[in-house]
Amino acid sequence: MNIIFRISVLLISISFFGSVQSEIKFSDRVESYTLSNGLKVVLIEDKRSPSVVNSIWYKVGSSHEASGKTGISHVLEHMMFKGTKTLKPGEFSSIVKKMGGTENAFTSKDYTGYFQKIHTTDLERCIELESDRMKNLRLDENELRSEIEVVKEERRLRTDDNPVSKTFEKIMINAYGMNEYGIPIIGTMQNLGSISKNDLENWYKLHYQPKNAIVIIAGNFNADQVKGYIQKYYGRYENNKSSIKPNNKIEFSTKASFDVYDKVSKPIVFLSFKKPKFDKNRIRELYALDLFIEIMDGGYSSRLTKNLVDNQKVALDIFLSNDTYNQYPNLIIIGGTPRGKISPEELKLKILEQLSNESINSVTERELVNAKARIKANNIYKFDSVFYQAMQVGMLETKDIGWENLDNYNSIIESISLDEVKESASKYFLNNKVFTAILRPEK
Amino acid sequence: MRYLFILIVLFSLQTSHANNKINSLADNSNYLFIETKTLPIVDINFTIKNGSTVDGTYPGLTNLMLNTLMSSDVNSKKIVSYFEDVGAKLSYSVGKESLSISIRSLSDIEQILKLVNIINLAISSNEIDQNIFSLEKDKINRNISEVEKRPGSTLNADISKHLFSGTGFEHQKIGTKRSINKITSTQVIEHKNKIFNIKDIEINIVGNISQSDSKRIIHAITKNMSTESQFNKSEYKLEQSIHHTEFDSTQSHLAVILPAVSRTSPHYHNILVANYIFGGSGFGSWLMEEIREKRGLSYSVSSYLVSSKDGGYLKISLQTKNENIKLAKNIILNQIKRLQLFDVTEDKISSVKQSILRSFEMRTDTNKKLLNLLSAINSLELDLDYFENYKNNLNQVSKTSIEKSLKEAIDFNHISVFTVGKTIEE
Repeated sequence: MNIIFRISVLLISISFFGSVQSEIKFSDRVESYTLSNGLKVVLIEDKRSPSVVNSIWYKVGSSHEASGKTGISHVLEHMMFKGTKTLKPGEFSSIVKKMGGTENAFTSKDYTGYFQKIHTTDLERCIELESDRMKNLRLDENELRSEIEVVKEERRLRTDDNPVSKTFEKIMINAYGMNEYGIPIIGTMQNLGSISKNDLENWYKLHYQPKNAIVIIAGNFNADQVKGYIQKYYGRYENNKSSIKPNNKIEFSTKASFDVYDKVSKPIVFLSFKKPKFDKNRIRELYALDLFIEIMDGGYSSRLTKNLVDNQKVALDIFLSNDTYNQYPNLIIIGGTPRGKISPEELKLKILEQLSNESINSVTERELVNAKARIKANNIYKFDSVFYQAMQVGMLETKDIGWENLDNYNSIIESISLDEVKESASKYFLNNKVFTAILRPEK
Repeated sequence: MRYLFILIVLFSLQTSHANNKINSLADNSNYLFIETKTLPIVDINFTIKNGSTVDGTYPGLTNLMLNTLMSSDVNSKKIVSYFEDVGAKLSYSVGKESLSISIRSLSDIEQILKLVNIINLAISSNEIDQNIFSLEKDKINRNISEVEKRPGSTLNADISKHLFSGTGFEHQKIGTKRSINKITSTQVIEHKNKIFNIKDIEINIVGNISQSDSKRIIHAITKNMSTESQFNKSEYKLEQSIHHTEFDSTQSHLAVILPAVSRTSPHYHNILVANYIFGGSGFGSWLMEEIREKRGLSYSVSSYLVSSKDGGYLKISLQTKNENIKLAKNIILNQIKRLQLFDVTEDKISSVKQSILRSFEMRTDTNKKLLNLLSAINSLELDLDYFENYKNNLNQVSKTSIEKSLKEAIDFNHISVFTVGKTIEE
């Protein structure tokens, strides 16, 4: 039983639910349009500081790759800093650095993005530079071979010497094979070695086109001026004639359970549930699932931690991962580390108990209200960073889910009932097969 | 430039007002705040100038104390639940020289006061739930075991152990299993009562909140807190060491360390500019060019100027496959010689200064970043006209002043080298 601290102040017994609920909407600060060449533009005004984020997002990531050439989107991302017809390797970064700006790029399963955070007076130059490498990339064989070694080091650092990342990679491959979300973003070591300059040139021509890209600018700028820059630098480009064809699916078999042995001090249990791709027609059901997941694992006081870590004392920690807007079938993964003499198998059963019919039906209105309050507050906190505002828009737009859904999300979440949450949770956890992976200390 | 000017004025006014009023309440000048009205958010940070260096004979005591405290119940409800139920955030951490508790909330002052009161009650309590204490010990022991399984964490542990030998900086903040298992709840309470005191607390507030409401928050957190500081500062002393730990990993991790300058040293801005060119600025720096861009040896290589109030060092680090570690180490050592010679043009230095000044304007564009900056100003006891001083100091940097500082403030004969990885016979 918990020992209670001495209480001398009455304040804490007062209900906390009368909090500020100011709402901030993207629609109050966003303007979007499409150029005649198909390039989508999203402008997000936020004049709190003189900084602005210039970003471009291409609708290509590891899920578009084919077996044998995995990691090619990420390698191309690296090579985009290696010069164009007019810029030397590294010159792009050097120019941004002189501006006092920061820049980087990222590759995901669905998209590849590039950004610079700079002073608003440097925005035109950055738009010019970014547009230049959309069309004029110069691929050099020696630069490529050297950069492939860098990517291999990145793989060693992030995956090969990281047992948890390695297990996540195996779980995705087990579920989907070398198809779509089964393909590791960084690629396999073997495939990295076989990516040629020719492969990259073809990948670049195929995916780096105005109709396959979104320019997102967030921060302090003059909208009329920026529209002029975008037209000037991107409006001149035409699309390539090549079109993207879907890959043939690679055959694979999925094991219901498997073990991984690696350098960990204690075992970790991973339970996966398959989830179909995002469908706008099922949006209430998917947002209701988000709410259930928030109730289960939205914080340290959420159900899974409260029940399994604090009360039952069977786990040291619990985690849950889910992507609301998955373009391809994906996994909801729940796991944790067993505590003391509890075995991974016992922890698995305890987690499944939390996802049982009885457990789902015991979710209360109070839990739902708290989960909604967390989601709502988090959506306000996200506006503190202009970069994160661009990220939120980009993550949806690259999946052809409009930025307008960021505002709709809040209003739909607010209207979802307890029954909808229970119904959705039952669909995804009760009537669904569980796949198990256990990461165990190596023998 | 308009923003920087406005910010300087705002900052100076707000902090000086905050100091005057708060001083009269709590006899303490370490309270800073910036009012920003653009978002309905308030960020608060409480820093106590006692970290793992005051663990004494029980490595890990401060960390175990804070984790137990923050995981506890107040009025039969977990502290974190009070925050999460209303969408507020609570985070906490222990460093070598301080511990920190941070709150982010929507700007509802009554809600914030309730949350701060919860923290105050937890700090004031002299009871510990044995279940929570036992859970926190289990979690920390697992983390200690995990450190031994990761090459990067092993490297950091080696650096602390060998460079700060015989000081409070020697052990990792999470401690050792032996120590954690020995610590009793009574020791934790006694330690907590010594750690939390008004003399050692710094409070930073940023967001949509008035000066008078900030004062209420400060009063709420400090009420009933002891006024006496109990700890002496741990000695900062940097040893020299060449050390390798054999490790079964695909990569070797390398750290090269040179004694450098404290944050308040007159040489600081010269070394900052030199390090920017050397390896502190990513792409285009000497280290990035030689290690990654020319040879593809590492995904990441950097030189970080670690400067506290009492001392500092340059930490160069990279990871590369085991076969390449000797080559990478030799390149780093050669680049250190290049740094010592510092054959750089005035034009390059001027360009770097402009980059740093320009980037400075963009380092304060979120409430979170402003809060971090206030924390740094507070803990390093920098001047309240920090922005102006920073700009002036940077403008005075020249090739001559850098050369002088490299000669006087960096001991190039005192290089330490740490490696963790698998030895590959040639």
